[in-house]
Amino acid sequence: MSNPEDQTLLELFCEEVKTHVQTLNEGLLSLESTPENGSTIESLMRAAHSIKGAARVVNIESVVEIAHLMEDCFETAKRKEIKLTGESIDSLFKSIDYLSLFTSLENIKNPPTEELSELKNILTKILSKDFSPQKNKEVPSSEKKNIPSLKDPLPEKKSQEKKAISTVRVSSGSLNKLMGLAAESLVETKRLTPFSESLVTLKKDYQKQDEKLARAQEAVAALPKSSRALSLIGEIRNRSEVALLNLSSKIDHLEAFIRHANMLSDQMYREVIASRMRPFSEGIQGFPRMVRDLSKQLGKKIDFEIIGENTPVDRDILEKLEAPLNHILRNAIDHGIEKPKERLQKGKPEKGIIKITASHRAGMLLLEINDDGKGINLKKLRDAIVEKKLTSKELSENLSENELLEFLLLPGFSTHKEVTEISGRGVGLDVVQTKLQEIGGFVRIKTKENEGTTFHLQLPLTRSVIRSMVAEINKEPYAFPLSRVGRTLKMKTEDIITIEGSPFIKYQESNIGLVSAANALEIEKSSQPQTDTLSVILLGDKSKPYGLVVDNLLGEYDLVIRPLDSRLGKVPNINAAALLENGKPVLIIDIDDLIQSINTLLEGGRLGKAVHSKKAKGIKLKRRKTILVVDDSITVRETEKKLLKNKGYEVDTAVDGMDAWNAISMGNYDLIITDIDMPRMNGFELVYKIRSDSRFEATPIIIVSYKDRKEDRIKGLNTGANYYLTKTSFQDESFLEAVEELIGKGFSL
Amino acid sequence: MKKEDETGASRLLNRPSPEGYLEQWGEVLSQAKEAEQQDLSSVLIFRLKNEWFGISTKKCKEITESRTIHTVPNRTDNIFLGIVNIRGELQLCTSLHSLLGIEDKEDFEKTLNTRVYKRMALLDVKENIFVFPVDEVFGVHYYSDQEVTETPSNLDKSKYILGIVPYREIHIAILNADAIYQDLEIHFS
Repeated sequence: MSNPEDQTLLELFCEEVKTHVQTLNEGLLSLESTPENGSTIESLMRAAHSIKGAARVVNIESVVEIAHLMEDCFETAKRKEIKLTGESIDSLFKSIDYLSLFTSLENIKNPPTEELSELKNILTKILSKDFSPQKNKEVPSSEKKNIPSLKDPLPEKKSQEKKAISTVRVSSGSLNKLMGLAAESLVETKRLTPFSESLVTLKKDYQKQDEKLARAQEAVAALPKSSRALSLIGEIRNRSEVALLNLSSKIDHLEAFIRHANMLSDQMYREVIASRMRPFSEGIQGFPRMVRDLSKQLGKKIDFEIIGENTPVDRDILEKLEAPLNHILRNAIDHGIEKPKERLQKGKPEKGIIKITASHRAGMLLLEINDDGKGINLKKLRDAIVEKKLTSKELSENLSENELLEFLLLPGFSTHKEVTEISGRGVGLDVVQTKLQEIGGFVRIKTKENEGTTFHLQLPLTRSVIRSMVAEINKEPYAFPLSRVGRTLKMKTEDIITIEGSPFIKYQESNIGLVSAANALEIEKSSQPQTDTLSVILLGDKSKPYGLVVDNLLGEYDLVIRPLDSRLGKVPNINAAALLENGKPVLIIDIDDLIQSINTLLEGGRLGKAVHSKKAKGIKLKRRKTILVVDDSITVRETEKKLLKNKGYEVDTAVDGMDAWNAISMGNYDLIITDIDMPRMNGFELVYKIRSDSRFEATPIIIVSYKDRKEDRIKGLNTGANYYLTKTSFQDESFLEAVEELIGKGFSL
Repeated sequence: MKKEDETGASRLLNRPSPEGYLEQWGEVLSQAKEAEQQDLSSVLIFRLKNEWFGISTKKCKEITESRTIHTVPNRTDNIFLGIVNIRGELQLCTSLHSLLGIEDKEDFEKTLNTRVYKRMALLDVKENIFVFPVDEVFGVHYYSDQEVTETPSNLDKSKYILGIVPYREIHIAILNADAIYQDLEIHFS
């Protein structure tokens, strides 16, 4: 089996087995829950049969045997000679697992042999009816429901064929190229319209010329001896009329062609974009089986429901969703749902329910994973947090429910006492958090004791198309994702109120601070003619809204996101790029980053002129020591800030590594104190970044983290931090001692 | 068609070749071709301000019309101009003018073309693309190694120049595409 043709054949076989194994898994699951459904058994038979046929072609005897036995089982069950329940279904699942080994080329080449004979024995036993104690118990009812399936096996087959056609593998690189080309062809065709309009103008010029000729004809006719000139003019007029008609018909043709071309390129563009979307169900195919097996293993009874299976999701996101969902589900089964006995005692139905709901809301993909299990005991959680010394007892008393639950998402945090195989060994939900952050989403937990736990996952629908408000800043277009834009306003300049030198506008009863977009983005602004209307984009949340003043609003566009060239690194305030309809590039704003920049700008801090004066020599000696505190938890941030301020240091804060890096590049810090686990850029990355920049090589860094493992300590110090402290060090003096050792006392006047 | 066959011109063109002619030419063509191919390099000739440059056609595969450059805040400087859309893909646009230190020179009035268009050229090294605007493109020129004279050592940016090749009334500075590419990469790292 080494020649290339066989190789492709085997690859095809793998694909085919994959499809049928999926059908088998689904079919068997539904057979288990509704054994009376005859059509299910039909599809099971067909799938087993197809695998058998395919395996025969590529000559894999073991698969032929197993598939054959399975087919026999299903057939006999269909004839009601045996009944497939409990253990026999388990064995059939095991057989499916065996078959699914053959979905990878490696396994085909070295087929596993150990289980084969055992499986064959069991399947033969099922067939010989030794295995079905409850045989024929419910025959009458199942017989009845069996009839319709016999009548119409055709539709079932059709739908299965459809499934097989519906997927083709295309490399994502070529799909991206296609998208680029489709967009470009859209732009190019749009240029045809102005061209055809210019032809119409040309036609009108001709018509005017003809009118002039007509007048010339009249004038000449009035002259004596004009017959020769008249006939010449007449000839010219005839010819120009023919040319004009010709031109008109050509223009008509061109216009028809343009309409057609526009429509085609438009359709192509939409189709290419749509091709990135897959139904949600495609990403969760393995879950029903996983839930069944696990709950069985743990002796729990669980109904697994999926709502919104057809919700379209970008394939990139779908791929990345599997791991976090898997983790949450395992958690729900293991820690959430109680054993049947316990549930009955609590007055709940014996069977627990785990439900995944997928839906689109406000341009986001919303996933809810809900279980009706025991929920999370907040008191126990609080104790665990204190026990792990993540915070002090007093501090923990003040933490809100949401803040408490956020601890669950920290690395290495698990409240479950005994280590179970199911939901991992001490690996907490931080996996979920990290994975989601990678694709621009976030997770929230809601829980009620004895009623259950719900995980809310919010994600962007796609990473490829984003609806945006495009605005001009310094004569160049920038896009603001609509999901993050409050609204846009046109204001008169006289409506601006100035309070202590800062411009404000009043909108819906609240004062909104105005910021120039060029300032926030740090663009040097070329002089702009003064106008009496201002275009304002409202950003930020209700508690802290900002009005960003732009030069001009160009309107809403669906933009296909292109990542910025990796050679540019992370550009402050910018997320990605895209192309406008006219083919011109546009930059997409990173709203979170921008809001941070505005915050710092308004706090009168580190931007613009301030930077230059700080950098000037001599001033450094007189000013107070400035420390940058980086942590994503407001509690930690504020604790550190307070401690340091009490000792006379100047303190700035940043909410994550990216924010910090932006601040460090602008400001002049004597010391940086950072956490490790933060969104966007973690502490290690930040330290590494600081150390690899010649300007900050010597700036001292202290890492303060929940992580108290030796590896982390070593990693932190190796990356270039001067100190590695744990968050418990706030209680004693070691934190402040470290600071003082590195940069001296706060008051240095 | 028959009529034409009998004209003088066709008779002249269809006459049998003199003895030994085919053999002689056969030999000439088979030899000369190989020798020439080894020696000739092809460069794309373009102008930046008042100087003419050539860059290997192996490294510069495409010339396109001038397009809008979008600056990138915090990144755009004298070398990196911004991003530019080349057939639906966003590429980095850089200034060869600045890299070669000729951004302040006068724009040239003596030109090889009858009409002058600003263009953009794509420098393509190992699948990594840099775009740079040029003030005028002339075309492709083939030269042999013997024609190359050494770069005057007083030239400011001599590390980017492999040598000088005379062409008509002008001198073409042959650019070292790899050195330029390397320095641009360093600029971005």
